[in-house]
Amino acid sequence: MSDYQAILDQVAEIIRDIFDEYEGPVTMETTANDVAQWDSLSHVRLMVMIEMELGVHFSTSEMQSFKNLGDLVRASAKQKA
Amino acid sequence: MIFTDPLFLFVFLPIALLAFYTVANFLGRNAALAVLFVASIAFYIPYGLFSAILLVAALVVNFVVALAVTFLDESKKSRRRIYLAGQAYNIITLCYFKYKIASLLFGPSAGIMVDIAGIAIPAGISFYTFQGAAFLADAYSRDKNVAQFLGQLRSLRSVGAAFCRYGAFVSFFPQLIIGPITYLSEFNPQTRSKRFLRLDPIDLAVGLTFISIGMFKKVVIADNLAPTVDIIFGAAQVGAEIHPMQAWIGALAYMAQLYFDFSGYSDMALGLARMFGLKLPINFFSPFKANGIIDYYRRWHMTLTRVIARFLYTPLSVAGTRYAMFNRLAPVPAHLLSLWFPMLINFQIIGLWHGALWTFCVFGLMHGLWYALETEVRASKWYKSVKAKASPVILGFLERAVFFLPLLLSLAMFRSESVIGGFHLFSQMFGTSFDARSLFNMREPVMMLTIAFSIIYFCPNSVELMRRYRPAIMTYENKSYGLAIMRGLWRPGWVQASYLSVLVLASLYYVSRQPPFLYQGF
Repeated sequence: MSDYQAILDQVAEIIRDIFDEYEGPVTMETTANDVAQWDSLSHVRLMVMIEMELGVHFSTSEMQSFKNLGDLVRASAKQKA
Repeated sequence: MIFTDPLFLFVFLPIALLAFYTVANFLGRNAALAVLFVASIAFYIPYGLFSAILLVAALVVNFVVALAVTFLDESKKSRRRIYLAGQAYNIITLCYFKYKIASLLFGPSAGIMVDIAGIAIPAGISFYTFQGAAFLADAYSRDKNVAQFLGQLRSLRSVGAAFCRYGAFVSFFPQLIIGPITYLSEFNPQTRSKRFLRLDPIDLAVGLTFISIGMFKKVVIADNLAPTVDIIFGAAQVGAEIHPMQAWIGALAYMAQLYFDFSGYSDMALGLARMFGLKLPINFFSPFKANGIIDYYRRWHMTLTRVIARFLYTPLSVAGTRYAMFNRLAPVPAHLLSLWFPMLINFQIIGLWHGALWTFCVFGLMHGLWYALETEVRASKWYKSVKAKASPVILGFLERAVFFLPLLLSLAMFRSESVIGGFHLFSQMFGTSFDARSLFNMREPVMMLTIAFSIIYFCPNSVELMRRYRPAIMTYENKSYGLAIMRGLWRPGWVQASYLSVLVLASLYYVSRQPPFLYQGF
C-alpha cells in the first residue's frame, strides 16, 4: 500500500504540473472526467511523462485501458516490483 | 440483400427471427448463435459467391490466429509472429480487394492477379476486416472477453461451436455491410446474459420503431434528395456554368442526403439487432448539431473514429510524444510530432478508408488540418478566456456558424466525381453565373431541404427519443443538444404505432426504387 502511495504522490505532482488549472484532490479514484483539461491529447503527454519520471513503460493499449489513477498506479507498481 | 429490400424485410427477417427464437428455445445459446451465423452468410451470398468465400476465409484465418494467440504462452516468440501474420492477412486482403493494389502497381501486366482483384469490391470488406482486426488485437492483449467467448476447447465439437459464435459476432447481418464496428467487449457480455434468447415484446417493438424511422430517413428523405445531388455534381464534373443558388442547393442537398442515408442505415442496424435481443454500439448521434469538428467526429461514424484512434492515431501520437519529450524538442516541433502529423495521417486514412480516390484524399487533408487547428485553438489561452466570459448560448451559436461552411465544402468535395469537379462547384457556389441555365425546378428541392434541415436541427435523434429502452451501447458520452421541449419520450402504444405506420407506408411507396446505401460503396 505504501508503494502505491509513493507512486500516487509522484503522479499527483505530474498531474498538478500538466493540469495547472486543476485544484481538486488527486486520489486512486481520480479519472479524466474529473479534470477539465484532461483530454485525449494531454492524456498521451501525461502517460509519457509518467513513464519518464517513474522509469516504467506502458503499451498504447494499456494507456487506453486505465479506468482511473488507481489502475495506472497499480500497473506502475507491478513493473517496479 | 439491403435492409430496405422488401424481400429482406418481409421474408428473410421473419424467417431468421422465427428460426433464431425457436432454436434458442429448444437448443440453447450455441445453436441460436449458429443460426445467426448461417442467416448472416445467407444474407451475404447475394453480394456474390466470391465475396462470400472471401468473408468465410477471413473468418477462418482470424479465428485460427485468435485461438493461437489466446492459448500460446506469453514467452513464445511465435505468438507475436502469428499475431502479426494474422493482421498482415487482414491488411493485405483489404488493400488487394478494396484498393486494387495489384492493378495500381503493375497495371494490366499483373495478369491474373489484376483479374481477380478486378471484380467489384467485396461488400462490407472495410467493416468486417476492421471488426476482425480489433478482435485479434483484443485476443493478443488478453482481453478477458476473448478467452471467455472462445470457451474451453476440449473437443472438435467445442471448436466448431466457438467458430460459430465467432462467425455470428463478426458477420452478424445487421452490422456486416455498413457497421457499426463492434468490439467483443460489447457483444460477449450480452450473449452471456440471462435476457439473451428470451423473446421480449419490447425488443420487437423497439426494433420495429428503429426500422420504421430508419427506413423513412433513407427511402423517403435521402433518396428523394438524390436526383438534385446527381444533377448538380454531374454538371460540376463537366465544368458547366451553375447558378450560385442551384450550386448551394446541390451542396446542401448532398449534405442532407448523406446524413439521412447513414443515419437511416444506423437506425435500421440498431433496430434489426434489437429484434434479436442484442444492442449495437451507437454510430450516429446528431453530428450536424456539433459545435466543431472535434465534436462532429464524436457523433459521426463513431465506431470508425474510435477504431482508427485506437490503432492509428494513439500509437502515432504516443511515439511522437515520446520522441519529442525524450529529445527535449522545442514546443513547435514537439507539437508537430505529437499532434499534427498523427492527426493528418489519421484523417488521410479515414478519407482513403472510403475508397482510393483523390477526392477522399483532399477531404482527409481538409478534415485533418481543421481538426488539428481546432485542437490548438481550443487549447489556447485566448479561447479559454473567451469561453470563461461569453454566454454559452451565444458561444455555441457562433461555434456552429463557424463549423457549418467548412463542413458543407468538405462534404461537397467528398461527393464530387473529381477534385477538379469539386473545386469547380466551389467556384460556382461563390461565383457570379447568375444568368446560367436553370438545371432543375427549385421548388421541390428547397421544400425538401427545409424539412430535412428542420429535422436535423430541431428534432431529437432516434436514440434520444427511445432512451427509455437503452437502444444502443454508448460509444462516446455526448451531450444532447437541441430544444428541451422536443425531448419527448417514445413508448409503445397505438398512437405511436399509427405514426410509425405512416412512415412505413410512405417508405413502401418509394421502396421499389431501391438505390443502395451510400456507405455500401465504402
